[in-house]
Amino acid sequence: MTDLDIERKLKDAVEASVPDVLDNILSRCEVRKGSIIGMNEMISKRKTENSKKWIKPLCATAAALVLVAGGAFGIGQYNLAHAVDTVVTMDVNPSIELSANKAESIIDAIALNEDGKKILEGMDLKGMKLEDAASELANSLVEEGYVSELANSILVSVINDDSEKTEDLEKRLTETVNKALSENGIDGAILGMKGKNDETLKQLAGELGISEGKANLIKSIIEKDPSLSLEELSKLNVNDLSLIAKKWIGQLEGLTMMGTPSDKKYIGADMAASNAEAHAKLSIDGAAKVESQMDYENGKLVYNVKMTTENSEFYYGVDAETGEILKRGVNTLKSAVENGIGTDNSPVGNTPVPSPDGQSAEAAKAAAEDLIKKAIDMSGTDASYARDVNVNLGTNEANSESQVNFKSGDLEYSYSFDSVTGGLKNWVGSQIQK
Amino acid sequence: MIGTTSTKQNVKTAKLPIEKHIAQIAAGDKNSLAELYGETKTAVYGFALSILKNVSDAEDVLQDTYLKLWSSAESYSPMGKPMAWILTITKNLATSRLRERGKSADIPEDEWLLFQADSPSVSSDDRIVLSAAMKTLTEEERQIVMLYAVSGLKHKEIADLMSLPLSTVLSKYSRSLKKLKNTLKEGK
Repeated sequence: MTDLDIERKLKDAVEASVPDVLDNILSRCEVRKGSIIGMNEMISKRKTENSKKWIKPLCATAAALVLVAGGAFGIGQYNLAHAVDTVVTMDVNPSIELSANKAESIIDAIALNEDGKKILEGMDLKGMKLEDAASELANSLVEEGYVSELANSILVSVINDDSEKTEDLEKRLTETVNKALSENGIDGAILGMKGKNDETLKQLAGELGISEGKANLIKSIIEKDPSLSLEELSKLNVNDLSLIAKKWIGQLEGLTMMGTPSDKKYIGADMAASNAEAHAKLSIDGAAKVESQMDYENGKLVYNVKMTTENSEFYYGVDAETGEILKRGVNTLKSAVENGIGTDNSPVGNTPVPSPDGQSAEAAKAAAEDLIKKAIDMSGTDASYARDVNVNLGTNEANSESQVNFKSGDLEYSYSFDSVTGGLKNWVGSQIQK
Repeated sequence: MIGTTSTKQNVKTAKLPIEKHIAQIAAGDKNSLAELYGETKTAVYGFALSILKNVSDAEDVLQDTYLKLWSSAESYSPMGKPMAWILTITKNLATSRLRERGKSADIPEDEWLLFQADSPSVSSDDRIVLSAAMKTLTEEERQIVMLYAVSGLKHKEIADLMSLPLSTVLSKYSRSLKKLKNTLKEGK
């Protein structure tokens, strides 16, 4: 059996065994569009469905347990002062967990990482009220240099099953921490996260070595961008997470943000836009709209800059630390493609792209070579350096496209042309990952 | 210069305007989601299966991938690598599922037999190869082979997706096929 045989058989086997779940997906889309659904909810929903047959016996067992527990409570008097009612975590890079009773007095304060140990060293928070402890910790975080004008974000997370109490406490604590930072001359960004006791989240946080609050924040970010991974984001500090989350504030369940996270450690959104503009040889003033937002891609914080002109949308990915252009692309607006107009800085003319349909192999080959030449010319690179060249010729149907991919130097390019009008639809040039 | 032969070999008809589908899904178009599902389900399911090695979990991840696409298509930046984006979502969901299971991705023998009995549409020859891939290859090797042979990614794209050096992907791919050939030879 040849390599090709094995590849083909594997593909055929998977193709023939893919379950048909489309109806299920489409029926669940109605509910999910526009609402935040967590991975745990999906899993727990399934678990609920799968475990319905166990509900009755479980209820009976639970009822029996409640009776036994009730008896135990009747015999002994529970010491409320030592029962944990609320868990508050504070994260910067240091992570600290405070457990408090119903009266909001601290029962225990533990460091969840090495930096947290440094902060708690010499501090005795037991018996202190939560607000006083949060203020003390904020002062210490500034004194130890963990919070500054360069990285001004603190995540305060409150976990309690009473929603009203959680809401109230989260508000008071974020205000307290904000005040403490102001008194230290720092314009802070305080993220408030509300949550309920959740064993799955607790387990996840333990596995990642982070606080429940930070795990909750990361989960919320991933709900908005599922291409990000828990493992990657768990390594980022709270200021970087805040910069990524900023664009979604108001859409992330249970999260509030007071103030603006500092990007002074990085080149800044304006500088990123300016770098992109210089590269595109456009005047930002002349562009209809410029958007610049922080994202996390391939292990780096990246400013994604989008500039919209009359005919095109330009996309740039700019390294947040160095300002280096990591990727770039342009999308020609539909009206311009229909008129056979190229992008604003790469006029194409409206020569239709030849189609392979109904053509001889020779004609298709010639068409492909023409298209490759057109793409390489547009990239401004030397054809003799082009490597790994691929061309996909579209059909004659409306809206189909032909694509040319190639590498040159340390960049890989992809150009898409409208097969009917020949207009450039979009192109991307991105740095080859080393 | 660009070689005529290689150009000729690489000419094919375009059929997957995935970025366009994603843009339409972001605008709430369920038909586009259905079309995208039809075009990419094999790649997604194959990749999920290679990570999870469990047909039931792979089916769940298949569903969840498209539900995630539906709810977060607007966060996609059109940078020319939509399939890699979709498979990254699949990878993250499958990794989460593994974490939830809290155990290694071993599939019990009886479950494989059940899967095989339940899949009459898979020819016996094809089933033998898939089964060999699941049993013989390591997790990383399985993923590389599935991404190349089933999902249609290039070795470089696989290297990016799995955060591995290209040379590692190439050597692992080559070793995996040798292992598969030996297993299939021994089985006959």
